[in-house]
Amino acid sequence: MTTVVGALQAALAVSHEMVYGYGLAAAHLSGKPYAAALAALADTQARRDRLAGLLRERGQVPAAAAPAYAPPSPVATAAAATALCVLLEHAAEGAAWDLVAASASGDELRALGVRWLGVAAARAAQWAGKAAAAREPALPGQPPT
Amino acid sequence: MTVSRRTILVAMPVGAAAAACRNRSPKPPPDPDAAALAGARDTEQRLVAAYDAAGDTMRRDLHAAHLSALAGTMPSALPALPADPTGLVRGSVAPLQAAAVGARSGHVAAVLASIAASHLSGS
Repeated sequence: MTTVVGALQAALAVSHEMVYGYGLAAAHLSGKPYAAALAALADTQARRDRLAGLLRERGQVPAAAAPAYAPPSPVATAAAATALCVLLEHAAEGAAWDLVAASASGDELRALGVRWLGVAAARAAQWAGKAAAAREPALPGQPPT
Repeated sequence: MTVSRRTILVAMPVGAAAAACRNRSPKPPPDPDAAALAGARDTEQRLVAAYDAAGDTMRRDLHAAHLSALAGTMPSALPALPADPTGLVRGSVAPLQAAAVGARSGHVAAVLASIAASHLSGS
């Protein structure tokens, strides 16, 4: 079972990856998708800082970001950038699920995780597009059984 | 055979303990998340029935998966069909999220939050 601190550190690690990933993706996007990537980036940066603050409040040292991250496949086109954005939000869904499961009833962390899971699922569906959104998981963030 | 009072006094607790086990079997404590789960199941049952009636197998299967995650099944008597299934999906997000925040069990909270997220994403 994941502890609260473990779930927070994992969520922070995912947020670091997302900040890097959205920056990378945005460089290959334009127009509305570019604006959407920048909005997601700003949102992720704010969440990253909140998660780090919550760890400090618990006497923990927030894990630092790596200097760079390798995407699962090369990102050189808008399509590849969009696919990366879907993967980023899927990672966020998993981290948010774990945060919800590890936190206590009524806790601020629980509320943060619940909101985050909703935002991540909505963004994943938007990035996936209308046709592919139907293939999104029935239970976003659920760990594989 | 002489049964002394001492023998009876020694023997009785064993029998009494066995009777206590039979007659006062400890009831499991009530599930604090039962109401939240029942509400979520009711919504999913209505959505499964609505999309089934509409022939929308993709959405029916999605909500059937939600119902299964809630350990629910379809009742033998069909639930009342919502007039506006899409509205029911959208309207369920906030109550599901509130139930997730308040759920005692972390797993139940995650399932409720995930269903809310699925409804929010409009899938």
